[in-house]
Amino acid sequence: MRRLPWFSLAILAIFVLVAILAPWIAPHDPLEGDLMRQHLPPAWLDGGEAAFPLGTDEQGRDILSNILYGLRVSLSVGFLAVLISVAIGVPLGLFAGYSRRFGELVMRLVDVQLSIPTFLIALVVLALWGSGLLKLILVIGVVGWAEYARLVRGAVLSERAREYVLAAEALGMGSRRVMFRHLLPNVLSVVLVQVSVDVPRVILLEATLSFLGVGVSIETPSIGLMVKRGMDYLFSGVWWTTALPGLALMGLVLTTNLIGDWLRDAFDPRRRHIRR
Amino acid sequence: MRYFVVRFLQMLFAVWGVATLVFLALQLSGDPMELLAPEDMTEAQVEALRRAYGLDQPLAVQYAIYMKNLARGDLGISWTSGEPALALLASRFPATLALVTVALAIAIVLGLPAGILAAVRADSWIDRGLRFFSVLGISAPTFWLGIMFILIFSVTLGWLPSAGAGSWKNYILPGFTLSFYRIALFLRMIRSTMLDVLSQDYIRTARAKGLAERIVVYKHALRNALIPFVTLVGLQFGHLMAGAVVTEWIFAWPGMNRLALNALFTEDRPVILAFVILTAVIFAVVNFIVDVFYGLIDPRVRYA
Repeated sequence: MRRLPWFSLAILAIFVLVAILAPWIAPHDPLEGDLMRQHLPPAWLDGGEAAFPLGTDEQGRDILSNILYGLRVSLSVGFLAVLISVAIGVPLGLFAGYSRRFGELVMRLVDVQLSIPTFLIALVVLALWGSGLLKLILVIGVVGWAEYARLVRGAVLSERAREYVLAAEALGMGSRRVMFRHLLPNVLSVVLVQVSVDVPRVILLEATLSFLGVGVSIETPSIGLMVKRGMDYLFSGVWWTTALPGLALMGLVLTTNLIGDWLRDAFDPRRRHIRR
Repeated sequence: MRYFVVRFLQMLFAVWGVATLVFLALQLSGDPMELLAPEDMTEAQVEALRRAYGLDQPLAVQYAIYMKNLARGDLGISWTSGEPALALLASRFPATLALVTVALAIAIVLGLPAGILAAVRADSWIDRGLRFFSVLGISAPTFWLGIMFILIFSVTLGWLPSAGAGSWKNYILPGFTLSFYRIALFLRMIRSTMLDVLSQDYIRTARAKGLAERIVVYKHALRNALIPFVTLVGLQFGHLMAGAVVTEWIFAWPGMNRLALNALFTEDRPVILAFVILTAVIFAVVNFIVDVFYGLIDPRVRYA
């Protein structure tokens, strides 16, 4: 095994911890504004106040507190939506790999699903059905099933020809038992690698949808929404309401991507010769 | 030959599936009369309007008419402008195509050589630097990147325009915003396939023959690494044509993605529908071309 990416794991742990503890460590209520202190610059600049380390937005709300709560939304959407995709896609892929006719049907559905970008489906569905945190998680989660079904089916097809599966079948095991007891553990590495690719992708997707105004509702603190609101004040020299939240988001996505890269190298046997 | 026919039928099936799904999704989003009919319309007038749009027919009939029109390339009339939805999108198509072409060109020109360099100098400090940049590139939110570009190059330095299209200067910021992620993606992909190829036996043979390293890398290795690269570029083209929504919006680019976003906000269903179906067609055609290309250069694919 290659050395664990300790640094990235530690940073991710800090992100998760900060997101969970946001209600206790955030210096202010993220939604509470005060028009008397709108657009305060970060504390290290002239006119900044120590009580608002990263400044305030156009309604006087604390940027730091909003980032902390926003990361909470990013992480919950990232993990919950991917969980839904896995819960739908993996069983479908398992059955599709086992039954030829069902497999063909699933693969045609996968073709349909993959012939429009996830982003576009989520955008259209959320714009027409209305937005909100739960709908967002549900839509992104459901739309993501196809990649898992395809990968798991492929893995099952190649595993099925192996001897241990033949042996299990020869011993008279039912196909369901073979599937869940013997095949599933062996295709899990494929799923894990895909999850590590999907989590950062979904986090960015949530931020983008919220930025376009079809993601979370406006009372929810969200990085995408903060940047959207900050965009109106770019030309009046207010940079901290857009730059800082985006930087925090990029940090989170960067960390998950680094861990994902490590997982892929560790689990993909074809890449084994690449690392030294 | 059979392979191409099967791929073609699969492509048609995918487009049909998308069209059906969109039709169903739109049914679920409520009565369109609430949007179309002005508040002060009488009941009879609303019914007349409903008939005019064919919305009084049973769902199955509406679906049949919709499919028939679709097959003829008629995607309905925009509810806001009264023009045919497809013509509306077509008038904005060139602007999007131009932007996407520029973005892909930037991504290839920067990503490809950087990827080769990283692979040839694997584990050197150049490779480490490029690899870090590439993870950064796929982690930066596009909408944020675009805004940062405006903040730096338009607001602070005043070098480049932040909105509109017209001069070549207008292409620079949206072009780089769109290509940033792709530069990183291409770099990563070329690096890993080049490393894969460079460890193959025939490369060892070529080196053992005493061929110059330049020839080994560019003639033997790069050629093989380019096959999956062309596929990736093709797929990214499809993604960009329908994925430039954010960039076109931030930079007020007069392309079809911004048109579609406006249609979403005004619930102009025929335009939304036309955009989704057009995207599916672009995707399907790109996929088909990529598959055919693959099948032509690599006979193994045809029998898989």
